[in-house]
Formats: sequence, C-alpha cells, structure tokens
Amino acid sequence: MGRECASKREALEELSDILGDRISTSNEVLKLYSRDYWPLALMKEAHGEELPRPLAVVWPNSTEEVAKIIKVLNKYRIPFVPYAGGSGVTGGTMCGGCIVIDIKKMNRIVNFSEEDAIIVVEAGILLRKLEEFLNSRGFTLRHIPQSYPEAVIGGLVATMSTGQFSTKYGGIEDLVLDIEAVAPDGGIIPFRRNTVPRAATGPDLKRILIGSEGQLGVITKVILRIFPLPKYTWKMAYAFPSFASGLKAMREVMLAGATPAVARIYDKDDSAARFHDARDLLILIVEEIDEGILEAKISAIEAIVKRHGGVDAEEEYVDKWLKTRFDVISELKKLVIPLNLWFETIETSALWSKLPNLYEEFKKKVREVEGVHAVLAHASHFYTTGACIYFTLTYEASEEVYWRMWEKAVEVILKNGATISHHHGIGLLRAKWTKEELGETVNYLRRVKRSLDPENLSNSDKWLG
Amino acid sequence: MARVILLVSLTMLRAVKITPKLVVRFAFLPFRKVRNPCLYCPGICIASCPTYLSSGNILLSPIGYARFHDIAREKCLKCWRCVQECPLGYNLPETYSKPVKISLRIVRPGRLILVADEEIDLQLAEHLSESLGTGLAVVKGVAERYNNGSPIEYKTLKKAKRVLSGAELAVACSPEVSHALGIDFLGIHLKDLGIKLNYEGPIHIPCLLKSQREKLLKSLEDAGVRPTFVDEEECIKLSIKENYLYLCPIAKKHGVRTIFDLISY
Repeated sequence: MGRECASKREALEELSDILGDRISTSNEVLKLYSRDYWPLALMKEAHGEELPRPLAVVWPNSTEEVAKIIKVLNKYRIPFVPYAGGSGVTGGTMCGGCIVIDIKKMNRIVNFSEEDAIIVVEAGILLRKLEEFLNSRGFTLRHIPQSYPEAVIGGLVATMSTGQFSTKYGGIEDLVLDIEAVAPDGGIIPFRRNTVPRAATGPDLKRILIGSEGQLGVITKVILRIFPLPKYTWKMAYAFPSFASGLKAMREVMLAGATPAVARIYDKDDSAARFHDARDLLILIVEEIDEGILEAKISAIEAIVKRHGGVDAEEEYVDKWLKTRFDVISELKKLVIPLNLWFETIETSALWSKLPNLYEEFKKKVREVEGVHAVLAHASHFYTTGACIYFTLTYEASEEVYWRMWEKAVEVILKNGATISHHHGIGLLRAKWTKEELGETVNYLRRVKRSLDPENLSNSDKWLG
Repeated sequence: MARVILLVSLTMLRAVKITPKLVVRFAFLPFRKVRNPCLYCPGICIASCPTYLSSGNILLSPIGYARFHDIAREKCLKCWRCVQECPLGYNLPETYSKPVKISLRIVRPGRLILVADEEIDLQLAEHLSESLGTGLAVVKGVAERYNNGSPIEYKTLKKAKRVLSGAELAVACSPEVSHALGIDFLGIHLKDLGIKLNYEGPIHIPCLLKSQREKLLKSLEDAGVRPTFVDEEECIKLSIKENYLYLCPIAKKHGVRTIFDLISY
C-alpha cells in the first residue's frame, strides 16, 4: 500500500514536471470530473452519494504532451481516461483512481480546405465552436446532436455519435476521414501520409478508434468531411394514422432517394408532451444546394406521405423543435425534478421489418415496469434499411427502478433483433449486455485491446478491459 | 392548482402513467422549486464561458461556479454570457454574493442624462457630459455587483430608476451600468448624442451587451466606425488585444483604445 502511494506521488510529480500548472488534484476538480452526464450518476450525486473520484486531472496542450503523459502512466501502471465534453450519457468517462486526460486545451483548427471540403482539427475543439467557424465560411459539419452546445469532437468520435441531420449527412463515422491518436503505450498513431477520399491500403486501423470510448488510447486530431451550407430549405409536418404508417412512409422516402436532412416521427405520447398535439407526427427538413433537387425531393415526399395517409400538420412544429432541440433543462426544472422523478433516454435501431413490433412491445412492457411513469418515443436517423427509435423515459428517482427499467428495455430490444445502442455507446451502463449483442466478437475485440494495451491502462474498467 | 394546470396540459398528461402518489406530488408541484438548475444541466451555456474556453477546466465553468461559490467569486468574470445562453435565463452570477445596495444621485440635471458608476467611469463621464452639454448622474454599487456577482437589492434599484425617470433619455457610459439599471448603453445612441467616430479596424463587443450586437453595430457604423472584424468571444477581464477598439470604459485601465478616446463632437 505504502509503495503504491509512493509511486502515485512520484507519477504526479513527473506529470507536474511536464505540465506545470495544468494538473489538478483539488477536491472540487476531482468531484466535477467524477462523472459525465449519465443520468444514474447524476441521480446519485443529487442524492448526496459520493462517486469514485479520479486521482488527478491533466490538461495537455499537444499530442506530444499526451504521449509523454501516457508514457509516465505506463511506467507507474496508473490507469487513465480521456475526457472531452463530459456530455456522454453512459458513464464512459467515470474511472475511479484514474488520471483524467482532459483534451480541451487541444482545440486548434489545423487546416481548413474549402476546395477539398475537409477540416483538420485538434480533438479538443468544442463542436459548437467548430460549427460556428465553418458557418462563418459558408460551410458546415452538419453533425448536430442534442449535446451540440457542450460536446467536443474527440468525445463524439470516441462515442460513435450521430446527429439530428444524420439522415442526409451520416453519423460521425461517415464524417471522419482520418484520426491521429496516442496509443495506450504512449506511441503516436499518426495521420496517413496522404489524405484521400478513400483508400484500399489494408484495413483501416483508425476505424476501431471510432466508438472505442477511450479504451484504445486518446484521439488527438481528426480530419473531417464538411459540406457547403445548404441554400434551399423546406420544412413540413404531417400527421399519420399511426406510428407504423409513418415508418412505412419513411421507408419509401429513403428507398426512393428523396432523403431529407431531418426526419422525426413522434408517437402520440411524445407529440403530446412536446407539441401538445396527441397525433403521430412526422417533422421533416429537406435542405439542398440546388433548388431543382429540393423541388424533386419535395414532390416525391408529398406523394409518398399521402399514399400512407399522412395529412398536413402545423409547420410551426418544426420551428418549435428547432428552437428547443438542445434544451434538456427546462422540463427537468419545471416537472421532472420537482415531482421527484428522473429521466433516461434509450436509443436503439432495427431493420424496417422489426421496427413496428419493437416499438409496440417496448412501449407496453417498459411502461408496465413498476416506477416507470412515461415512455415517449420518436423515430429519427433513417437509413435505407431501417431507423433509430429514441425512447425518453420518466420514472421514480431510484436506482432500483432504474435498473429494473433497463433490464426490461434490453430484454425487449434484444428479443426484437434491435441494438442496445444506436449512438450513445456502452460506457458503464450497457457493459453487461454487449456479449448478448455481439457474441464471440467481444472476445476478439478484447484481444485487440490486450494487444494495444497489455497493461490495461486505457479506461481500464470498461467493457473491453 | 391553477398553476399546475398551466405547467401540465391535459394533452401532455395522456403520456403519463398516473399513480395516487404522483397525483399528490402534482398537487404540491407549485411549492416545489428547483433553486439551482445548473446542478442538473449538462452545460448548455458552457461554450460561452471565457474562463472555461481558455482553461478547458469544468471547475472554471458555470457548472463549477454553480457548485463552488468561493471559487466563482474569485474566478468567474461575471460577464453574464452564461445567463444570455441559458434557456431558463438563470441568473447564475447573482447567486455568488449577498445583494448589493445601489444609490444614484443626479450631479447635473438635463433632458438627456449620462449615467456613470463612481468606480468604473466617473471621470470619463464627467468630461463627456461637459463636452456634450448633457446631464450627469452617478451611481454607486454597480462595480461591486460585477466584481463579486451579486443581485441588486430591489428597493434600491427601483429608487434609482425613479430618480432617472425625470430625464427624457438616460444612457449608461458603461456596459455594467446599462446592464445593471436596464438602460441603453451610450454606444447605441451615438447619433442622438451627436457623436462621430472615425475608425477602421477590429472591434470588440462587450460581453454584457452581446444580445444587442446588431443594434450596437448599426449605431457604430452610422457614427463612422468601419469594423474589419467583430470579436464576440473574448472577455476584456481575461484577455486584451492591443489593436482592437473597445467599448468598455474599463479597457482604458489596460492602456488600449476605447470609443471614448475617438469621440469628436
């Protein structure tokens, strides 16, 4: 024990030599870095429960500094966890006794090429700052998750995030061209020597960092695809006879190639809560550079929607959604917290053939769980093959109810051939169910982890460790 | 109960599985307040916080300041940017310290009155008021609010406003006084005051006036300012750029150029 303490002290001293005042072991800092935005961790904190605290937080300035830090931590066998915006909702950055490597001082824009439609950034840049930079130059990343105000690029890549405009522009995995990272042993995994739209020079090692949740090292730089800001936009809302008929319409829209940027089908409960209109509502945003393409898409969408019984609804629902889409605090303050309830979101995806049953069964079975008060649902993030359904749940603020609700939710999800996570990731929350979804693949992934991180230091207590 | 109905419509209630326990809680809803919403927020305002942007440290952000008031008093810049970004408009900087009393006196009456704070910009305002032939009022306590993070004691604010109500137009010489008293900043009334400026180059928008950006830029351009770049990111209390034009009188302390240095009548 004494030796362990001494080695931690020595490690912190070595880190201080590298970082100067960019290291903290203050109680206040450790408390704030002891969780992300996982609702269960927030609930525990609100109930006065102490969460496992990290050993220290460091703020490196460069890839080289990250490499030096990790080499020191390897020397002393101290685990570490990368930290970006802290907006994750699965406890992915919670790591008691770890060194938290906060990358937000690495926030420079390295290169912006209008001609090649790419941007090279350090991974600690705030998404909002990046988007504002691009918008001021007529471009956009169009990666706009609900965590847009606080999220950071490195965290979005590590989580395999997606955004509200993903139906047209794809998830973060579609936007990443290349990654620079520091491996768990402190070696730097560089960018390719050439940046190209696509390459067949072997399997892309970098792809395993997307969704790795800090378990395979620290993402330090990213090259991203960007798009010119759209010139023409069409917004519309429709009401459908049922959630299932809305899904059928969107299937046809996607297969016809009339891809909208935003499509969200709110079920009656979700519509009632958000728009005070208890119908199954589809809100759409189509945006294009070319007016002709926009017109063609509108005409195709209108015909498909009508065929499936969709009728025009108030267009202002789209504006209301646009205005309130990042606001996660108003309802919490107004209703959820004062009613001694708590909140959770469960996002899943499935093929078209599975979606209607998944939706019906999830709503029924999870709502029946004792202590659960509301299960709202909307489908968003559409593909030619299926869609994501995003459930918003309100329940008694108790850990027991929380896990009971999750057990039932995962049971229904897996039974219906859906995924346990469409875009929030695994973290601590879903770790125990990964094998049920991935089977033997988990063991091969663990072998990859062991090969890159033999000491198991990189976010060590998570599902690959 | 009427308040409950306002908060929760019947349409909305269709989504909720009601239990007797929940009904009781709904009944008490008007009496259950969340005092500090920042404790539950992921940081919707966080990208606007200058100390967070420069440090990357959550402790030095509204999330940290909402939890640790000692640190907030010392480190928060009291720039009110977070309040402008918050969907609830939650006035976080007002929670750090006890309410401050302000007092206002008319030094020189007039149809048009310049309002200065005793600590922030009195000298400058005196000179300006004489040159422009306007009235002058001096307020005490505003600087303290923006140094410590305090609300203004309501009665004293009301009294100050009553004193000013005799004037046709009262304009603040500093963003702090404008923000504290809810009156326009001088920069918005350059034309009314007959002020001309001759400047081409980068300018800085004061944090406290960020929401009035467009009005401010138009007024400046009408008065002869030709901005080549508009900085809305930095806070003067944290970083100063030598070649920029500032609107905050406190910038003078840092030896940089302000609109007050350029005024010709």
